[in-house]
Amino acid sequence: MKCDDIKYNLLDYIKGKVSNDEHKHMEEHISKCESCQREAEELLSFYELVKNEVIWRPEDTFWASLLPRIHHTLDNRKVQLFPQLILKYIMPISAAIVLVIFSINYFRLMLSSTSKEEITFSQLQPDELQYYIDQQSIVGEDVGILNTHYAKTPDDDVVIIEDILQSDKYSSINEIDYETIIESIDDQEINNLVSILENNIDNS
Amino acid sequence: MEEKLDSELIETFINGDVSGFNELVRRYQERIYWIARRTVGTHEDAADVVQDVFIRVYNGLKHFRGESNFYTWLYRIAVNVALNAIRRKRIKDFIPYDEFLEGMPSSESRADDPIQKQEFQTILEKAVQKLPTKQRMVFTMRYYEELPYEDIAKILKKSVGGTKANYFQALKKVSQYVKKEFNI
Repeated sequence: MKCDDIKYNLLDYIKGKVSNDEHKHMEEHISKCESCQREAEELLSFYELVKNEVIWRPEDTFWASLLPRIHHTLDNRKVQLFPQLILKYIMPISAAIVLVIFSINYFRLMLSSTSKEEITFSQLQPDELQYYIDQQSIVGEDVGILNTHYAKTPDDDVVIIEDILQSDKYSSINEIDYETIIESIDDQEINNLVSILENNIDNS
Repeated sequence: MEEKLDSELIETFINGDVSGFNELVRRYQERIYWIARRTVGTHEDAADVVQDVFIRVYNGLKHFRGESNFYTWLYRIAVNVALNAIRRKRIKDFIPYDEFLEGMPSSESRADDPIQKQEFQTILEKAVQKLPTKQRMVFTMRYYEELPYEDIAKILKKSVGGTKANYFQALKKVSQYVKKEFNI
């Protein structure tokens, strides 16, 4: 055993806290080593002075009340936790969600207002209608094409929606409409249109 | 009745039964109190530290991985909370550390204090209070708690050799102080 091993465990040796084997080894070393002997004597005299000191201890009520006090504090903190959570997480998250929803709707509104504008045939004057029909392709949206139409300007900023066949106001220009419309629709839709036109002519 | 292991009590608590935590408090409250009291110096501050330690344990036990002994983990929390308490007290009172130690109430000064009149320090306790904080902790854990050096080193995140040397230095200082007080 080295002197360091002895001195670091010297107090345990004095207190009788080392194993029998260890005690024997330490005893042997100390009996032969003057330095360790001195250290042992020093520590022994110190330990003799303090070993019987009576320390002040808290009363039993302190120990008995400790656990309830801990739970009381934990319960109080749980109660306080909700307002803290509201302030720390729920309010900022809610504000962020509202902001995101607002931004999305705002941009959608901006896009719809800048890129296209819905106008029905009934809002147009006959010459305006003729202009649109001359200038733009009319795209059938439904299979029953003439029930709903979207007409886009070259700038793609106007969409016209109208139930043409049911519009009495523009019945006089229906033939022009139909010619233009026919150019931009497929065979199936042409057949539909032709039969509707025939019915119209028959009726008139 | 056979005493449950720490790990079993922890599992009980994690499974939602608070009795596991309560038993751990009862098992360790005194040891944590003494670490705290010998570190912060007074019963009042030590009582706050103990309470704070176990509240942290309650909140952190679900995350305890069991990689070290429970008591090593617990002592580490106690050491940190006690050190924080000392720092807070120093900041609050605006006193330098050395003066803080010098100014710790002694048995004589407490005699007139109605709250603390029953609390007094032995010569050994006074000597311990004179040690630098880390040495005081090493001394407390080794001298009073008789923890193995390896565990103290883990708790304080130091080397075992350094911990041994620290303890021996602390022991020498305490011994000198006590002898001086006894006029030896």
